Amino acid sequence: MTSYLKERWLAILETTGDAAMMVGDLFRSILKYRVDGELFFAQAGRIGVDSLAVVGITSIFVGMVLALQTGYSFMNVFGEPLYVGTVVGFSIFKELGPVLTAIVVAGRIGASIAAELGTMKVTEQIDALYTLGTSPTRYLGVPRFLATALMLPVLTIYADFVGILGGYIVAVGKLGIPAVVYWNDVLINIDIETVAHGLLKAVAFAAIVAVTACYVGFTTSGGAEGVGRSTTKSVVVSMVSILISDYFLSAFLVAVGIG
Amino acid sequence: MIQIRNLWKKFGSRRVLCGVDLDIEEGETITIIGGSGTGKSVTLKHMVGLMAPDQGTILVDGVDIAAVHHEEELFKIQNKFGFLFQGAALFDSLTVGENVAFGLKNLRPGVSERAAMNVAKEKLALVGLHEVEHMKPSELSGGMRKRVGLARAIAHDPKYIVYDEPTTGLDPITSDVINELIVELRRKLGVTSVAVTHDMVSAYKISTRIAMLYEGKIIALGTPAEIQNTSNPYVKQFVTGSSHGPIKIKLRESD
Ligand SMILES: Nc1ncnc2c1ncn2[C@@H]1O[C@H](COP(=O)(O)OP(=O)(O)OP(=O)(O)O)[C@@H](O)[C@H]1O
Ligand SMILES: [Mg+2]
Repeated sequence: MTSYLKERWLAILETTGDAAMMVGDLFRSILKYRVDGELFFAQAGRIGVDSLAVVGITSIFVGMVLALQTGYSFMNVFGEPLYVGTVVGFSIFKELGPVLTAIVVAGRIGASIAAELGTMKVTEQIDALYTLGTSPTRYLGVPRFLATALMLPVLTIYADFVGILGGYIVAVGKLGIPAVVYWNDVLINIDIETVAHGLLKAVAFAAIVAVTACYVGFTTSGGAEGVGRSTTKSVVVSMVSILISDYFLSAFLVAVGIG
Repeated sequence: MIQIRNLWKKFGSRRVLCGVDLDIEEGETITIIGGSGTGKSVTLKHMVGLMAPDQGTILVDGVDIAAVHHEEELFKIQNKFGFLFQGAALFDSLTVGENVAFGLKNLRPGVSERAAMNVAKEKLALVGLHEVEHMKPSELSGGMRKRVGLARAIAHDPKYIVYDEPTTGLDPITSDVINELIVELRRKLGVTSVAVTHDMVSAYKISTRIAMLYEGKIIALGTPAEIQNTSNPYVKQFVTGSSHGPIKIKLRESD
């Protein structure tokens, strides 16, 4: 039993080490070679288009349910729905916007990157890149990494606004809070640090999603079955890593005075 | 010149290569023959640094490719090669023309889009394909994919060309066109090649020398004539394609 655990632990350490090497590779590539704009924009476009609808739907309902729950809870405590805008605003800008967007992107984009690169790996397309004057990191990794790093914060901003809007619909339409009160509650407490807090986390989550998907894709083996395994693995690992790192990132950012 | 010295490789507990020695001289076409699963493709991949040996050295123009850890230097060696993969390994997301022009655009940064496409067309014509530049690899037949892979491997005029089963899946006439092309590349351009094939007709035609890989080692090496008239019972059985002889194919686990 202990030897099994030890083995697992060593395997995890080794994988983390390999993934860290890949991150090093990515950055070396970015600094050393001109980034191919065409590949970058193709990826960025795909990430945006593929995620827009699902991020929008997720966010609007999250904003709505937040307003609903806060409103009812505070009605029980204070006898009236106070601070709904404040709670919705803080929760969305600092936590739910970045975290839920990252999780949606991990499921939608991370999975498809892992499947695509995994298929290329098992059909030797990754090997072929080496004899054709480029490397998988440069040709496939860098555009996906940079595109995710750009698009996840952009999608987070979009999710923030849609979420606030969802809260507005319920606060005004269902709880009967006057619109100006809701907006005041949202705006008065949201400062630049709060927004920065969310967006910095979004960038970190983007790195997690892209690196996990690329790493898992590049190390796929075992044919079609292996590609399936990689796809699932990429999503699960990304989601867990996002949620765990979220706690530590939040604590760190607050400690240094951002948010 | 490529020199393979004492190459060992195992996957898990399965030994595939057990001390392969093989020298590939400038300007020759060496063909590696051997049973399915004996490690021919694995040997080829070691030559271009796509796999790392457990033991042994592979010298490409005097540089040990297995000992090169600097990425840039490794790329420099890999770029001397054109590689036809056994499964063609065409990029699904690109058109046939873009596939063939891919290496050219990366390795000759000055070349224009238009010029690269013209070269692609020309190389596709060499392998007997016309009007396919705009198709996607998924729209091609197996034999067509193989030929596109071949066109891509030769497009940037590499010094060394590695062919993993260039004629598998092709009809006899197209096979012969490919054989002629391989011979011509050697005669006219002095390209050095290593091929793997099961097609003995092709092996005799394209090779200056033939090497047979068996149980992880090169057990025979000679000119096509020497191989054809060999007295080595293993080689003889293989080249005549007989199921009777010293080489036994395992049909059941218990055998
Ligand atoms: N990436 C890999 N991981 C594990 N085992 C491998 C890998 N590549 C090859 N092998 C094993 O190495 C052995 C040799 O494989 P290889 O592909 O070189 O055979 P081959 O001689 O090219 O056969 P064929 O003529 O059928 O193509 C096989 O038993 C195969 O299972
Ligand atoms: Mg093979």
